[in-house]
Amino acid sequence: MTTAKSSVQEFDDFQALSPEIQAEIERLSRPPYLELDHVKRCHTWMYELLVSRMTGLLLGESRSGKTVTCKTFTNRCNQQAKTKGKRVMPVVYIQVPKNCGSRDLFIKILKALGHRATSGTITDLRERTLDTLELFQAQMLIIDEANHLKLETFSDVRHIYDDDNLGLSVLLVGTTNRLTRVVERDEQVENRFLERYELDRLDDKEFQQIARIWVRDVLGMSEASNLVKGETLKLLKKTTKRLIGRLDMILRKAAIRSLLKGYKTLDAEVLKQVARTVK
Amino acid sequence: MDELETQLWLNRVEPYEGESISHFLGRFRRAKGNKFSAPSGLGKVAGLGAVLVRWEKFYFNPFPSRQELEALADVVMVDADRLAQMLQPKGVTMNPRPIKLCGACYGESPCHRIEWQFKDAYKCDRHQLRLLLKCTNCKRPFPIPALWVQGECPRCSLPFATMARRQQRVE
Repeated sequence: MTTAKSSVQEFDDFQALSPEIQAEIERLSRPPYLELDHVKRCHTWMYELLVSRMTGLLLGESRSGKTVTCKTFTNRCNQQAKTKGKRVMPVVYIQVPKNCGSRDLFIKILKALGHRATSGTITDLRERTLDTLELFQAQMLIIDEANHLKLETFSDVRHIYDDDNLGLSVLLVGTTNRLTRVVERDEQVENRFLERYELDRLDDKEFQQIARIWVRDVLGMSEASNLVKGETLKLLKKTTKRLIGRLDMILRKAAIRSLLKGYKTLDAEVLKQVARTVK
Repeated sequence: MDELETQLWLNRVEPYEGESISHFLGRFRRAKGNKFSAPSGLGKVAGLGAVLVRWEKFYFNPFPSRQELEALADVVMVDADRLAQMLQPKGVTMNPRPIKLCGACYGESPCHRIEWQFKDAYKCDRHQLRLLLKCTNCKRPFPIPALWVQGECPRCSLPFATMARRQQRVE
């Protein structure tokens, strides 16, 4: 009885959150974006691929920020190319599902291009996709989670790249060990995707810098910037494995928890608590 | 403007003057970036189901409703009234077979004209030539206009426009 009552009590507390705090939590729940140096370097490399119409592999550990990097690159290029009344999409970004066959691949591309006709025979879909890519003046195709592609689907990826009318640059994105394993299965694929770029873990200096920026700009909590030093920094380094995605998750979680507990800023104790629970 | 842009996802095909719906649908399906090898695919997108299969064969029973034409108009981006002009006008009967052709007209504007299929049509009013009912060379009847890809007889490859030479003059 008492437990039931207390949980209701807790729930009431939760309901009683002020609108400002709720708004803050909502803001923190959305993925942030910061233009970081190593992302800039990666964008430069991607732009090189795009203008030279070459292929490449973007590798990196899980949670090293590959997807966010690709998405922002896509947005930037497409925003720049936006002209009124014309359908132009220089960079097409897709994330493929598990065991992705040719049909899924084409449907994903068509959907990314805003095409609503996503049914029909595989030949129809293939032709429709290639034509639509050409009509949208696509210059680059980014396939995220490319390790999910079936072996036979790679022949369609090759076909898209080899199409002379398109002259498309193709970038495969995936976790280092998984994607390289998949690519090495087929020498025709391997020989076409020679250039590799790896999104590294952050080095010590970068890590501290980024963590500070993150707390200041993403979390928007001014007093908290002096948290990221000494023991806390060490703990963060260990738990995040110096991966930007993990850092983001931990910091955001700590911030939300601090807010829920009624603190106005990121609390050092809460941050340590969250960091300790992360394996 | 933005809303319009997001709606533009298939490629618009400009209808010819007097073009029949069958010919128009065929051209629309084959247009770059559209690519529907079967009319049912387009029908599915328009929410019309298999109706278009019949329309392409000039089987208009039941006659296309305003609602259906508007649904199709949304997808092909051609006004519903313009689409209605591709069908026979009220009070005119149509023969779905045989497919008729005036080679001289085709030479001027490469499309199948709806007026040729009217029941009473036997000559081309513009050229005063008798309408053809089959290929002048191999004597095969013409396929439905939706399948006119090259503008020639699918069997002997004689261009439709060339057939005008063998058309009889009717006064």
